[in-house]
Formats: sequence, structure tokens, C-alpha cells
Amino acid sequence: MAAHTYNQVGKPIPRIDNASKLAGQAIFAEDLQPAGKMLHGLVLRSPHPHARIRSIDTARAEALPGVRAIVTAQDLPDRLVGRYLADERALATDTVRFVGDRVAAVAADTREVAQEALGLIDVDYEQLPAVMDAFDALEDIAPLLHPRMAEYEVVAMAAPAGGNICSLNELSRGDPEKAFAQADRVFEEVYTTGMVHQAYLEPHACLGIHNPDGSFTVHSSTQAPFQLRGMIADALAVSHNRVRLVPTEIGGGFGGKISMQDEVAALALARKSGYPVRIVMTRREDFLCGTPRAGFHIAIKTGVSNDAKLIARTLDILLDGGAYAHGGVLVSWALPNFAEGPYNIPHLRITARCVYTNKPPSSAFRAPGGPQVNFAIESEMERIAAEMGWDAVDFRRNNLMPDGHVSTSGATMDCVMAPETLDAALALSGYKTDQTRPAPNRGRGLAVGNWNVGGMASAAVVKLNDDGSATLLTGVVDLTGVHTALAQIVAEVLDLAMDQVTVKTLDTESAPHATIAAGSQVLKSMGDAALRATEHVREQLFALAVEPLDAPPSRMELHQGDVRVKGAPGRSVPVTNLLGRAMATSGPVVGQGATGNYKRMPSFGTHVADVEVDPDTGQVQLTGYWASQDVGIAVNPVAVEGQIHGAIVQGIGMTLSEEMIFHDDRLANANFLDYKIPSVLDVPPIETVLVEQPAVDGPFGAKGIGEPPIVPVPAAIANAIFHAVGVRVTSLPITPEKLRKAIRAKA
Amino acid sequence: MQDFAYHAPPTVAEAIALFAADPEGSRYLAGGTDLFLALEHGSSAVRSVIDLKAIPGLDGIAVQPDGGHRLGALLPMDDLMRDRAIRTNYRALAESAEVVGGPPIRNRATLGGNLCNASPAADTAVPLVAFMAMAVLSSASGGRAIPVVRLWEAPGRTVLRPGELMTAIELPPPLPASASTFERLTRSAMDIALLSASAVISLNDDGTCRLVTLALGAVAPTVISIPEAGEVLRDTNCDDAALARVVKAVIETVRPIDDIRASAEYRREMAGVLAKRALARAYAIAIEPAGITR
Amino acid sequence: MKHPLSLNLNGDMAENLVEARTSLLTFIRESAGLTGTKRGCEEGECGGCAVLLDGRLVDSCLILALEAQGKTVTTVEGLGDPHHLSPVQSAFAESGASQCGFCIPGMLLATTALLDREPDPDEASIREAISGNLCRCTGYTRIVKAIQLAAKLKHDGQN
Repeated sequence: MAAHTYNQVGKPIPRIDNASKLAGQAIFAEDLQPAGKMLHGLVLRSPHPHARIRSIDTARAEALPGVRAIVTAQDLPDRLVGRYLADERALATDTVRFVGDRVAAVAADTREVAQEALGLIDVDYEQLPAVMDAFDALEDIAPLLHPRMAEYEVVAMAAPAGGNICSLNELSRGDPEKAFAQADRVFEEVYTTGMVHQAYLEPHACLGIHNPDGSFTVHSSTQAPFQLRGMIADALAVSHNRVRLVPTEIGGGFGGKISMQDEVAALALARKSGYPVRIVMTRREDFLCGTPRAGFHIAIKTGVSNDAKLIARTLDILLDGGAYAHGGVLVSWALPNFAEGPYNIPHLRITARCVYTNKPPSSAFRAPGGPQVNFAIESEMERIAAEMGWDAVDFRRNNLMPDGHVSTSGATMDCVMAPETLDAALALSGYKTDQTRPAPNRGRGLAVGNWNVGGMASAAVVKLNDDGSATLLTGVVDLTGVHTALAQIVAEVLDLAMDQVTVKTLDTESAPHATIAAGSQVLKSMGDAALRATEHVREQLFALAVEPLDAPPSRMELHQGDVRVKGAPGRSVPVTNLLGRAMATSGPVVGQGATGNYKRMPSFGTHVADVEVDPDTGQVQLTGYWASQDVGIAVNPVAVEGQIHGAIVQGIGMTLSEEMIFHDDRLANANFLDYKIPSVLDVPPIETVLVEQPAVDGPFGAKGIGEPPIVPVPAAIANAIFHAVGVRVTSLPITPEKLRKAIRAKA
Repeated sequence: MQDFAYHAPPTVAEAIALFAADPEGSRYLAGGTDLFLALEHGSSAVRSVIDLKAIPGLDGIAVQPDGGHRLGALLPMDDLMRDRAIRTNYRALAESAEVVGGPPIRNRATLGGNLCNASPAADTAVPLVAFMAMAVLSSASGGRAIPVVRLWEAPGRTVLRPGELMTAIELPPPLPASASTFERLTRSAMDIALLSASAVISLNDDGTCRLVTLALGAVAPTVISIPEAGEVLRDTNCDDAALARVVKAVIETVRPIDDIRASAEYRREMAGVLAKRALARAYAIAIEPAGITR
Repeated sequence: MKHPLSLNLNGDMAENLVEARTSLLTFIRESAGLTGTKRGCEEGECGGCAVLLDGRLVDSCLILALEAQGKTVTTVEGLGDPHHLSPVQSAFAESGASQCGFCIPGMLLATTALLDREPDPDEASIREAISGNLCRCTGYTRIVKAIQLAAKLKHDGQN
């Protein structure tokens, strides 16, 4: 473990937002109450998965007392927007493509009146055939869900490939076909995973205000203030500075609060009515209209040699992208970066196709694509080892990627900590590599996960107050406790106490550009920006101290409110003096820092799961869970551990119980009664160990940690089930019914 | 949700009278954990909600002269599961109350509400059928008591006449040398039952079964009882061969449905598994000298 | 039609006219203006809206405001303010039990109800006590630890 000599970095400092959150005073979007009158907005959503809108008649709804405004696409500019492919509208014009697609919106004095008004809007739909399966979308006879796809503007990463394929990405190295022919054994299998919802506890909410000067202010529960601001402004056809996005506290996001939801509808209603309009989704709406994790279909083919080497692999991955090109495009673009797994395979081809269907647009969810692909990869490692009579741990060790490995995308993998996490998890769990079951129907499984974390650009400002305390101005929101970590970084550099540092989240008009709070990148991206801004402050202080200390900046250090000469504690000057001096000369001390888009960093983890299976019913009880994660260094170990716990439990959900089920072309479990996220009773005791080796990059050597710990969870559990009862369910979630069926088939 | 009138009458008679004023548009309100969802999502217009919680005496547990127990219809699940007498004498009922949602639900959901909601998956309904409990009903024309097993016609539909009010559940006296069990299958820990089973077994002096009842939930339009269990197991030691015959009867009797929670095929197979487990465990407890009822 | 409602909310009388259909949750949030009680599902599944009603943990989304007539309701705001956190709140802070914080008010009230009834709960009791409260961030691990610490803090505070 790395030896820390820091005052703040590496310490388990309690979150700086604890007091407000624990006293129920944190303000989430639904809690916002502007001064004066506010209207309640509701969105009329398509009841059909695919339909043409013949007409919309709002007359009856408008006549309802208490209704203040109704908007349709007629009230908006004719604009297609999108993060990757400009393929959707804030309100539908002529076509709806999933149950929940926005058609119109109402603002009324009360929510009840708005609800009644929705029922009075007459929409004449012509239903069209729906495509509810990714394979169906590929058929020649499949209806084209976006017939004008070729005309859509590619905003980023998307590679439309005709038909219903909104993005196609393929990368390869070597010659897999030839290598399969030369392999001693070739294994093929298909793994599938369900569409799963982020199921954050706070449904989406926003508040739209039309300002007297004609500009817009929107408060939103978003992970991506700057991205979202851009999309909203584009949809309204105004320049970006005319939309001020104020991020609120977020009641969980996990990637599900990046896309645009009802913000433009709220602003259009505010403009039309003259009042602020708040739109709060119900849980059902959030299930229908959220942006879940894509369901995957993964055909995996692996060639091995008799000396337990992976020789060749192909992965053919079909993603259910849903109605619009959201994060599914990002996933298909990023897949080749992580779908190699933690292994070095000389002949490799990864094909990812993201297709449109008439389901909710799938998008980012904590390591998008990661746990799906790892489920296939690590299930196969275990299966192959079992069939070849190899020790599965040795087989993995034999093939782990080396440091400096070059991925199919050409990226060099630095700081590869795969073997270290494997060893750490084995030690933590007391994993024995012999395959003896601890008891009948009990089993233990292991999986090694990899992920690439980061990286988008950020800027930050640090200002020194006249007593030497510091305020970090940032446009990034806090989901993970990262603001506490940012404060630790500022405090570390300036040698301040934690209560001398404030982290202030500002809106998009006040803060410099910030990355999205997603992709495990805030600590790296904003952390680097904050570090540089703080170093900029320090540089200015040292420059101001040259005269009084009669020493060059290179010999100075900050110490508890003084700048002093290293090795000469007597030669010091209080920071407050320097700030007074600054006021008289160069002006207030303000530091700026920025970081550009940066290379993604690989991150690894090894998880071990213990299960007990009831073979008569197929029920699985998790009885223990151990995880090691490669974190660079943990700036705040409590926060890091909290991320690992949370990721594991979300992984447990997608492995054993969570799936959005579509019946008769409609989501059949749009509630927590039937969409089962884990309760505390589903969660085993979890032990974690942090593998710390400072990364070459990143503030103080920290790596992102939000996403990686979900990656190995499904495979670890699936392998434990295999160990317990000797059967493998290749589709997630592994429900009692599926497992019982597999057990019966074997018997 | 449309607004409605709210009443909190102090007596059963007044509650019944209020209901009679608008039988179509009235709903009794007990714990509200099911009614609220019905008000939010239901299609029929509710004009009057009659809160029963102001009526004294409907939420207690009383021992009857014959040793049986009378449970108020408004008894919350949390009180039911913690009651010492119930835990001792009607263990399966306490266990079924324990799994009706989490603590916030169990503090509100009532026994009468659980039964009158008429879900075939209602947890407490299953042991009550196995215990051969009676439901006490009141209406303007007087009172009546019917076996709990006869309460339901279909999912969501009871045999109660419009305005008829369930005021209590009567449990017969606990049988000597007996034990009861409740088994339940779910997708995750906090879930409504995919299916459930409850068995009550009392023994003869020689350790063979004297009286056996078996009830199953969520395998038919209503909670059902399996009379074959009693017939087959009487005077047996609940041996595997006898249990296999019961399981066969169960599988032939059940009429489960396919839904998003499970397939009919799985439910059918599991009905046999749970029935066997409930019976075998009940027998094992009853035969054990330290058995809970001896 | 509106009905007069009066109840004891965190020690103060809260009075207003409410429609019969108004839930206790809506009354607390919109009429009384206490937004610490969270609207997560409005189906009694998530526990975000949990409050104490005469000391018992309930989901305020499944209760008509009028059902609380004359009763005592405790919300997170009644436990302690940011400057005077209760032992239960302090234990959550110290344990790193709060991430997004949305489930936390309900968790704190579930903990309070548990410790009022069972001052020294074992881990199984703790898990059972918060089984009606979903959390999507923390994996519950540190929440369970926090409740163990809360029991200790309350215990120490009484000695």
C-alpha cells in the first residue's frame, strides 16, 4: 500500500454536505419553491410504442379552469437534438417511438388540474408496427424507426449504418478466423442481459423559468449541467448563454440523469404562461421515460491452446438502443476499449451494433456495457477452465494483460493492476482454488473486472478570501462525495483545515465548464482542474512572498496560514499579509485551472461471491461478498468504499432480480413492486480491500471508482451459482424460475 | 385522483349507514395500503371514503372462552406478528404477518384489509384458511360469520354484500399436539408472494397425523384449501410416500396463471414443493417433544 | 371540499384546510412546507416518505392527511437541525452512511422507531427495521453500521 504523507488526502473525512442532508434540508428539484406563483406541469406521453400523430387538439383541455398553458411541438422551433445523433425532439411532431415519448405538456394551478387536463387533450394516433426486440430490428422486413436517419447530424461518436442500426463499431487485431482454425479448442456461447433501470430514488424533476429579459433559467436534477444546457438551448434555438441551468441536489443518478427529459417542455410552458413551471415525474413516468442500461446480446467465441492461453476471440454484440440514440451509441463506441476484458488476446475482433427499437432510449448506467460484457467474458473463463480441466484462477493469471498493453483501439493501458487485485481478493476472501464445495448447494465464484475510467474536460476557479480561506467554484455536481474530495485536494495544497475550504456548485452561467458527473471522471477531471487552480493560487502567493521572504518561489512552502522558506521555519510571512499586499498591487488572488479531454485509464477489480442455492425452487441467497478494487490512491477511503458497496448492490440487482419486462409492447413493471431492486435483506455482508498504487495520472495518483466495481458482479455470482449446482444460466437476470429450469434440465 | 368525501364514523352501525348512502361510490378505509393504490389507479369513481379507525375495539386481540382468539379486523400486521399468544398458538399466522411489506406497511396494513382486498397472494389469508378461521361480518341486516376460505369469489372480489363490513376474524382454539407453518416464494426478499403455502398439523397420541389442513396462495384465483392433504395424511407419519400423494393432488388442483412474476408452469411445480415443505416442517415441529404447542 | 386539519408536527401544531384526497406526504411537503420528507414512489415501496405517526413508522404517501387528525407526526426536521443533529443523525454522518441523501430521512426515522423499541438491536433486527426503505447508493452496508453506532451513541448519551 502506498505510504501517504498528506494532511487531508487519504483521510476518511465525513462528507461536507452531511449536515444539510441528514437534517432533511438539502434542496432537491422537487423541493424548489420559487417566490410567487408557480405552476405544476405535466407531460402528455405517448401511450403507443410506435405511432404517427395525425392531429392534436388541445381545445377541451385549454377550456378547463386552472389550466394556464398547453404546449406542443407547434410551440417550439423545428429542431432535432441529441448528444450523439440529432434524432429526437423535445416534443414530438409527427411520430412517437416509445410509450412515454413526449407529445404535449400542460401547466396548471394544481397538479390535479394538470392531470385532468391531460385527459382532455385529444390526440389522433395512427398506430404503427412496433419493434420490441433488437434482432427484429435487424430484419429486412422491420419497419424503419427513423427513416431519415441518413440525414441526422452526427454530433459525436455515432456511426449510423443503415436500416435500424444507429451505430456500428468494429475493431480488431490479428486474424481471429485463422487463429480459431489453429486453436486446440474453440468455445462458443451466447449471453444475454436484460434492460435495467438506474432506479435512483428521486424521480426526474425540473423547474423552468422564463426571465424578464427573454432568457431562460432551468433548475434540473441532472448529472450533466453543461451538456444538458447545450441541448436545451439547441432545442429552443437560442444561444447557450441564454439558458442558465442550475443543477440541484441529485437523489441518485448512476448515468440516468444525463439525458434531456422535460426541461424544454417546462421552459416552453413557462414562456407561454408567464409563470415558473415545475415538472416532477411520477415513479411510473420515470420507469417509462428513463434511459436504462441497454439489454445486450453477446455472441462470444474463444480459441484456446492446450497450454491455457487465450489465442483468439470474437465478440459480436447487439445492443438494444431503444427509440433514440442516447448512451447506446456511446457504449457501442466505447465497447472495444473494454470488451477485451482484463486479458491479452492476440487475435481479437469486437463488433458492436446499436439498434433502434420502440423501447425507452437506453443510455448510460454505471459502467455502461461493462457488467454485460464481463458477464460473458468471465463466465466463459470459468466454463472453459472447467471443461479443459484447468484451474480457473491460474488460467486467468496466465492471460491477464501486462502493463503497457495496447488495446484494439490503440490506447496504451498504463497502471494495469489486474494481478494485484486478483491476489488481494483471493487473500481477502480466503479463496481456495480447489473446487470442493463448502456444503451441498453452496458455491463460490470469482470474476476479474476491467473498466476504463474518465475523461472529459473541466475548468475550476479557486479564490482566496481575505483571511486566507479558500472557495472552489465549480460547475460539477456531487453524487459520490466528490466535493468533499475536491475540498481535501484544495486544503492539501494550501495547507488549510477542511472548514477553511468551501466548495460551491454554480450554475452554467457562473461556473466555468465542467465535465459531467459520470464516467468515474469527476475526481480526475475536476480534481485536476481544482488542483491546478489551487496550484495557481499558490504560485501567486509565492510570487507575492518573494520580496518579504527574499527567497525564490522554488524554496517556499505553505504551512498553516503562512508562506515560509523550506528548512527555515523562522522565515515566514502570513498569507493574510500577502493578500493585503496583493490588494495593493496585483489584485485579488484567484486561481484558474483546467484539464482537457484525457486518455482513459484502465481500472481493475476482482470480486468473490458466495451463494447458497435452493435447488428445488431456484432461489439464490448471497451469503458473502468480497471485492478488491484498484483505486490509484483513495483521496477519501470512506467515499471510495461507499462507491464499491453501492456498485456491488446494483450489480446484485441486475444479476438476480432486475429487468424491465415488456409485455404486449409495453413496459409491464414500471414500479418498485415489480421492478425489484435489492432491499437490505437481499444484501450479504460485503468486505472490500483497496489496492493502492498511485496512478501516473490523476490528482495525487487517484483513479476513478464510481463505475468499475459493478463490472465483475454478475459473473462472480453466476460463477458461484455454477459452482454450487453445476448449471449456468446465460441470461440476466438469473431468476429463480430460470435457474430452476436449468437445474431440472440437467437432472 | 378525484376528490371524495371523508368520514370517520365512531360506530360500526354509522359506518354501514354511511356506506348505504352511496353503495357504488363508497369505500371502507382500514390501513389504506391497498386502497390508496386503488384510488390512484382505479377506474371506478370513489365519492366517499369511510375511515374505520375511529371505531373503538376493532384492532385488538381477545381470547375467547373456548380458548380461540378473536382478532379485530383493523389489527395492524405489526401488532399481530408481535403478539405472544399468536406467536405461540398460531405461529404460521404470525410468520405470514411478518412478511407483509416492510415495517411502514406492517404498521398500517390490517388483517381485515389484507383479506378484503381479495388478492390470491394475500399472505395472512393462507394460514387463516389453514387454521379454518371464520370471518365475522356486519351489515344493516345483522351479522354473520363465514369461513375465511369462502370469502373470495375471484381476484379482488369478495362475497361480502355491498356495505357489509368485516369486523373480526375468529380463530378456533389451538389444537393439542399441533404445529403450523407458512412457506413463501418470492423473487427477492421484499416482494409479494409468487406463491405461498400454510399447513396445520395436529397429532394423535401415537405420533400419527390426526388433523391436517393445507392452504395455498397465488396458485388459483383465490386462496385455496387442499382437502386431500387431510384425507391422505390422516393416521400417517407424514412419510414421503404420503407427501408425494399430496403433492400430486396439489399439482392437479392448482390453476396458476402466467404473469410477469412467474409462469404458470413454475408456479404449478413450486406449489408441490412448498406444500411438501409446509407439511413436512409442520409435522417435524409437532412431533418434536419441545414442539411449540406442547 | 376542504376539511380543517390539525395535527402535531414535530412539536408544533400544524393546521390547514385540506382536501380529503390530500396525502399526509403532500400535506407535510406542500402545506407545512417541510420538504425533508421525500416523494420517491407514492406506492409505499421505497420508504422515502416514511415518518413517525404517533411514534410508529409509516409511509406518509399511503395515508390521507385527514387520517392524522389530532395525531403526532415526526419528520426528519423533528429529529434535529443541521446545527444540532440527533445521535442518530450524527451516527449516519460519522459512518459515511449518506450518499445522495434522498433515502436518508426515511432511514433516520426507521432507525429512530427501531431504537425507541429496541435500544440494543442485533444486525438482523437492524436489517429488518430498514427493510421497507430502499437505498440505491450505499448498498446499505454503511447504513447498517451507522445504526449500530447510533444505538451506541444513544446508549452512551443516556449514561
